[in-house]
Amino acid sequence: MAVQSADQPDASVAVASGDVIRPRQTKTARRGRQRLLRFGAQLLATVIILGLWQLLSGRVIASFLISNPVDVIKKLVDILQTQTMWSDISVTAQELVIGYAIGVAGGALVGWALGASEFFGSVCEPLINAINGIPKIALAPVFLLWFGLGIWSKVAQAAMVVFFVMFYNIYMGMRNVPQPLVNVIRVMGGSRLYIIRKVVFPSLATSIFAGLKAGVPFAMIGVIVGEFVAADQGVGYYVLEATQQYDPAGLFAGIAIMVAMVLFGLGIVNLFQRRVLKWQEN
Amino acid sequence: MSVRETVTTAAVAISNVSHSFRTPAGTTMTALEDVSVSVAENEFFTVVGPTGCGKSTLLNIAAGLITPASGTVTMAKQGPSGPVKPTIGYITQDSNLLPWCTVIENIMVGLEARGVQKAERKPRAADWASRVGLAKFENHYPRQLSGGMQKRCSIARTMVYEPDIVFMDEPFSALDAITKSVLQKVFLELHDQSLKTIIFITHDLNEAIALSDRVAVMTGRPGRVKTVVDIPFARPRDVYHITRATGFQDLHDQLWSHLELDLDLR
Repeated sequence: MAVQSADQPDASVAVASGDVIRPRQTKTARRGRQRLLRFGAQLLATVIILGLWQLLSGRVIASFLISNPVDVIKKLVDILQTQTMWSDISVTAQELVIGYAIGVAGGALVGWALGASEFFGSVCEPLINAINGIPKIALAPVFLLWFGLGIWSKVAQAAMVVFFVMFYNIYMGMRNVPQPLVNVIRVMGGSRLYIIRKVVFPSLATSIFAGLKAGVPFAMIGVIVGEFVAADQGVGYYVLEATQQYDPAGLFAGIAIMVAMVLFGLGIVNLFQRRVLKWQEN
Repeated sequence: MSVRETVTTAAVAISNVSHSFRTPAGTTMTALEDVSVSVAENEFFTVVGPTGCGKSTLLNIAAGLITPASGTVTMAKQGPSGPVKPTIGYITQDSNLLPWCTVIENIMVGLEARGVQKAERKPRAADWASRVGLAKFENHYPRQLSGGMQKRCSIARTMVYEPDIVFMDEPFSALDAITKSVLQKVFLELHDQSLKTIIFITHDLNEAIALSDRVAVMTGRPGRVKTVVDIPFARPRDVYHITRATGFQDLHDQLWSHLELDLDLR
């Protein structure tokens, strides 16, 4: 009884002041623990998927259809030591970067122009929608004809796909530029250029990054389609070769390299985003 | 509309302004009809009226953001040698701060936009941050501030470039009663320190009487100026206790009697 009554005041303090009474240091510690937990769960999920793949291969599904993780990793290690794979990667990377850059720049520019002018926007939007309606993969032979067997037909294919992703993001984003903020700076006497720099551009940042992010995997689709149609170099070309030679491990190893390249590209965009959108952080 | 600089004693002269809008249904709605108002230099002029009477439209026309269908707005300021073009400030109900800029950066926007020397911007902005009580929050982003603090920041951002005429569209109406009184006091003190011409919109009669030199009452749609009432209280005023001043209730009744005829929903 004596112990309980000594505890009593403490309990009432805790109730009255709510969570203020909690020790301070736990916040970062808790966040760190959460991150560790999340990483562990992700690792576990990956191991389970790869384990299932390994188990099913050769038992339920023929291994020449799906290979297995062990073989794929072996193959990956193997081909990454060859000169040819690195030149394939560099060719695909070139096509990817150039195509992406052209698509992003073009889409942003046209999106900005049509978003800024209501008249041109209403004139051109249906036109652009129609062009976007073309299944762009169907244009691969056309690009081959126009730009030849080298990297430029793949660059064109990637740029074409990325263009529309970027265009729609910027075009829609231009409508969400907050007019009251523009008015406030106009009244202050700010120039057009100053308004663009201080209001239009920052309010477009979210749309720009949405386009930049969505564009990376789309650029890869464009490049690989181009390489599938006609190429003598590149990761897409390697995957096609592996398939034709009944080398499923090579096929999946090639796909793994493509995924790694896309993730690497997204990583760069994320890094950039974290710097620019610092004001959105907590 | 022509915004001319002419020789006149009025800082802002609004003459015979009418304006209408196209409604979504395709009809035309007259927002303002033949409004004429003349505001003297350094005068605190308030417009009250029922919702939808075109107060904000009138303010936007006066500030040059909307071109009226007819009528003119003339702004002038007496310079050392004749009238010069005045600089204007605009404070709205929403604080409209740039969410991607910190408090100090937001205050500097007003200086940057006007092309003030870089070396001069920071100290002037910091001075104003402390004058509105935000010295400790210079590096906070707007979303980290309370509504009242955001309003302080938006006042500082406007006052920092020392506009001759300040247009205020219900600046305090979204704030809670206590914050509102505090900011009215802060703003009146700033106004007493350096007189500006102020055109103020509100639907709060107490606020109108507490702050203004003259109050114009507008009718319901289409908006017209019904009457202009002088507020004779001496400055500096005690905003917190002004409702107890002799004559306050009479002024309130007088304004209310002009307003209430227009309050029935039509």
